Amino acid sequence: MRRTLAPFGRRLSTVTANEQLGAYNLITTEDPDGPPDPRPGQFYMLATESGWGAGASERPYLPRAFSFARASGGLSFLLEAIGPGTERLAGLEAGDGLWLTGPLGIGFAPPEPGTRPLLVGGGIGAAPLLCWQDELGPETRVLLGFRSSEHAEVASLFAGDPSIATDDGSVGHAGFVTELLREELDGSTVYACGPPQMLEAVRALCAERDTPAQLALESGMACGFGACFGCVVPTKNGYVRLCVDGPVLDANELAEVEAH
Amino acid sequence: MTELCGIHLRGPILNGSGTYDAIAARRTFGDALLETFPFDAFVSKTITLAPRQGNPPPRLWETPAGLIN
Repeated sequence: MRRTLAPFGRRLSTVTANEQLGAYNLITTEDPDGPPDPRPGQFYMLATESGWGAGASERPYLPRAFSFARASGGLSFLLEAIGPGTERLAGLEAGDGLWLTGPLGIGFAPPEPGTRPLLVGGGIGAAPLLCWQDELGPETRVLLGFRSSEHAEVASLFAGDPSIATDDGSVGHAGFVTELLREELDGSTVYACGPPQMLEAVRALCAERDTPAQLALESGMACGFGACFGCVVPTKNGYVRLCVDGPVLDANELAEVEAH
Repeated sequence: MTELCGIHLRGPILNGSGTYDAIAARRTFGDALLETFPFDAFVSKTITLAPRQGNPPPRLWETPAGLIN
């Protein structure tokens, strides 16, 4: 099963922790009114209880879509403060209110028969791979790419010994995570999440090597449940809404992962 | 009870004409959506004989306290 139903409407949760992990924040919140079993790859729409949609700048306004990182020991989200929404979320403190809608969308499907799962993350795209590795088992191979050692601190959340690539060579392989993938992808089902340029490189490589791949894509969203058609991405069969037909898509559905 | 152009409605809340896809929303929320359906009448977007792909993204733009879709 790739989809857990969401309770209708948004609900208020209470933040229990905001942990700084290098360049990222790991926000954990209690969600007693939500389902305990969201599927890895599903996402939630987040908005803080205060300081959202009003004030000096009146932004952020729309809730922000985030795949959950873990749902055991609280519901957690990984984020980097890069704009008005993520900056407000990164400022959350224990005890603050966080509005949730979700879980939304469809998550990862099991590996193709006879293959082993291979998880590939770029930057903040590591988030949905955490809970997916939890479910698949600690022996699951993980390859992660980051800008720098500060961003790569997230790798410590994974089990086993993830291979790391960094743009500046400060940790692991100096270069792209797709260069690590090229060496390991035979016989695997690839699960990837990261920036569009990385996902396009993964898609092209897996197509070239006839390797099954599932890509968790990202798009700005307004509703998160199929109402606004704002999050469409082009596929071989026309536009699909990432919020209800994704965010995880089979790589074969895509002619190209477009930059946004 | 609300009367609109001779039609009796449970209440006065209608969605604006747009793309609201109640079928997709039911896939997300299950039957809870139908049990507490948020609108007293449902207004569709313009319906055409042939399907349309719509505009290329980006389709959303956040503004101060608002949204352009």
